[in-house]
Amino acid sequence: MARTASCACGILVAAALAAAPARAKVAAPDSIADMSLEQLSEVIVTSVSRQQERLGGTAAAIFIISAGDIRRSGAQSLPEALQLAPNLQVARVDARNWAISARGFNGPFANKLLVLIDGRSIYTPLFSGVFWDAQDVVMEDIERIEVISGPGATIWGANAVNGVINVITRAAADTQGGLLGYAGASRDQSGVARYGAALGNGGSYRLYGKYQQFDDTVTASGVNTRTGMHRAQAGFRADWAWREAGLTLSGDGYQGRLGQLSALPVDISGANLQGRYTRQLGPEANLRLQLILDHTERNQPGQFFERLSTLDLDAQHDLRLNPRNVLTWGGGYRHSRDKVTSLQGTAFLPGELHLAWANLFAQDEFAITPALKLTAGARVEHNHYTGAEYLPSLRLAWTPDSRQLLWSSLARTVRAPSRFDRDLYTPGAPLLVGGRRVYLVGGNGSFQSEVARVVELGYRAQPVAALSYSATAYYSRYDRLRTLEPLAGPAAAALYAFDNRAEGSTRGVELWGRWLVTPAWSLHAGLAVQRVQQHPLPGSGDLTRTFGLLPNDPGRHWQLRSSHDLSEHSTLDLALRYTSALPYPAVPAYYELDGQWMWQAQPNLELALIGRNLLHRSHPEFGALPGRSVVERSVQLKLSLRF
Amino acid sequence: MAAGTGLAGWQQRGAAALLACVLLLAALAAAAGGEASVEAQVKAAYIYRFAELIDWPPDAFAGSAAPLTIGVVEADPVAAELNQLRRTRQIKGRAVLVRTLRAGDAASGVQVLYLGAQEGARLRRQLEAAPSQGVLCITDGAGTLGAGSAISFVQVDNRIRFDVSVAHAERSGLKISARLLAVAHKIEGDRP
Repeated sequence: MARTASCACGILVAAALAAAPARAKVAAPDSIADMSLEQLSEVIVTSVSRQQERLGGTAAAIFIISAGDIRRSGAQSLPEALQLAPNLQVARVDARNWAISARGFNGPFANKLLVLIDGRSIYTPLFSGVFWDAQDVVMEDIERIEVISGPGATIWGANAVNGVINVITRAAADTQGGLLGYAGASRDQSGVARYGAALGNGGSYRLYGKYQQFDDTVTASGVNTRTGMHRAQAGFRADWAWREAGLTLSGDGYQGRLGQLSALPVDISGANLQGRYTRQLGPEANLRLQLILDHTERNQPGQFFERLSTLDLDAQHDLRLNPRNVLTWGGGYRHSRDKVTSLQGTAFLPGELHLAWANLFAQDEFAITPALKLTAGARVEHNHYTGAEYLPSLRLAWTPDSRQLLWSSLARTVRAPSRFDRDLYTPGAPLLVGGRRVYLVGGNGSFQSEVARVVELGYRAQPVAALSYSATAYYSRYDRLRTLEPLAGPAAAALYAFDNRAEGSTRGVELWGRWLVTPAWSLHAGLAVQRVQQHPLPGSGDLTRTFGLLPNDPGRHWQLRSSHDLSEHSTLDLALRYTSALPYPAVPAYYELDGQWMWQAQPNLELALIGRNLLHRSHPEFGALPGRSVVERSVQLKLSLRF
Repeated sequence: MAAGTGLAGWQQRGAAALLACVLLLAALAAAAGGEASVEAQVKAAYIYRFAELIDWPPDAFAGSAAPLTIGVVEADPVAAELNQLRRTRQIKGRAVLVRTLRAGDAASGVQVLYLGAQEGARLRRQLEAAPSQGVLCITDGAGTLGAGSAISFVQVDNRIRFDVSVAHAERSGLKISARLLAVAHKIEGDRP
């Protein structure tokens, strides 16, 4: 057996990581038994199976960005950390805007990806996407980021169409003591202060403050885009754990100013408060209750001024019904008051709108045999615009042994309309055209949900302790995709309106793997190959392309990372990434290299030299000429002091 | 579902080659498979290293040639792994026995007791039922030292580390070597 294993893993290594001959030495399965305590503490045991259990035994294309990965990458913001996930496409648009998506449909207004921070959704019902410039987390406080590409609607709800990003922060007990950090130099700077301690009654807490400033970017011809920003954020988290129950309270508040070209700066601010209670009801039954209050403001001179207040209540119960069935069920209610003051550029009508979402879901994991599990689930989610939406999924997972998993899934998911689709009018007041008052783009009260049907096939394995990899193939079919149609007739209130007159498909493969070459050196590789197609239906006069709303996706992107412990006190990390050309607007393919050298000068003092985009002086990642920003080479020095 | 027609299109795609490659790898990996998870292997190896670095009181063993018995409660993969190891490896010159226990079984006659991940109250009851002297109790999960164990496994950054309670070890009459403490993730109570 040992012979077959080493032969097979040699081939695996060679094939999966394109490394030369199978002579490469990897830890044989037997060698773990002889490792020292120090070596054992360095063996990576993938937490994927644990995540699966939490996701209700579902098999999915899940990539975990660990705290160690983030620390070693030198990432200073969430989008930079997300670049570590091979199943995400992350493109920097300008100083503060990012285009982030999984499995295509990318753009600064990408709307098929759900993002949560500790269970709090950060997507805005304004356009079903994320204002990345309004989100921040202390990088050192992140426990892990789960990136699931593919549909997650049964568990996570509508909008988890092409993927879910779950940012999970550390428990307060794991962030005790003080931390002072500063990073800065050629571009951008950030500073963080955090302090954590125990509370008298068995709990613990942390408080933090963070300041971040991004310099303006320039265009290829050197024109300043004025998109720089600065933002300050502070918050806390407190956790209590009792024998069978746990309580977490957390909150954040932020304020920032964002630059924009030819207009006054955008002012943003917001605060949220969150409580989560978990209780073990029995040996294999758990209850989770969560309440979130969230308020955000965004005053975008020339465009709109939005004030959004949200209350979100969620409950989930999971229990083992019998030896073969595990049931997870729950429900939630969310209410938002969205108040948008229309300015010259845009109007959202009605100006004040109460939106409510309610959902019920249930999912059963049925063990057909101990190695073969079928998970069937469905969610009914009611939204303000289209009423009830059905989000079913069916997953099959086969674990022939504990080192591998073959899985497949079928799912239907929707992107429910946002205010952008239904209530957007532009410009802010109607124009006088041919003697009548019309908007250029007007709302369409009958815009429907976009629907996706997805089939996936995946395989994950860890043939030996030192090597793990995952492969997923998917095909998705989209119906009722958004188009922008010209309106005819003298009665029309606008020249154009959004409609659902396109269909499309995506197909692709996602591969990633990790190889612990020696205890001090690991290699990570990831590749996504995709084909994204969107066609207007017959009779459509779609103009989304003209308005710059059409998604723009590369055919493939890959990354190769090397993490090397140079000594007990210093590490060197290099990450090479490649993104192929974007079709429209055209953006050339690019290679870039990020790196970090970190030195533990004292047990409590860490110094890091971080380089980003080192291969070229500058390159564009997204957008159309001539106003498009380029991403420039940058070098930063980072200091962290713990006390 | 319309997926069928879409999947047919795979044949023309270069991606098909990748998929074929993956399936080939899967077949190869399947040939190599059949072992316990890495996590169980790592934990079993840890339990061996711990036992080598702990001093038991003299009366913990029936005699100088008596075997060292490891009791495993509700952690079959780790028990299976330990059973593999015991065939070829001794601890401190003693043969090793592995006893698979169910919750509620008496844990008498064991020198090491490993309890798989379970909820706090049950864990506490089992630890209270275990002999108070001469047994190294190991639990699984952050914060489980509170139930009374001397060592607990914790998962940190995708790796298995361990916390140590010196007080709980001393209460059981065990001496933990400094070498073990040096690698511990967290230590509760004073270092000796």
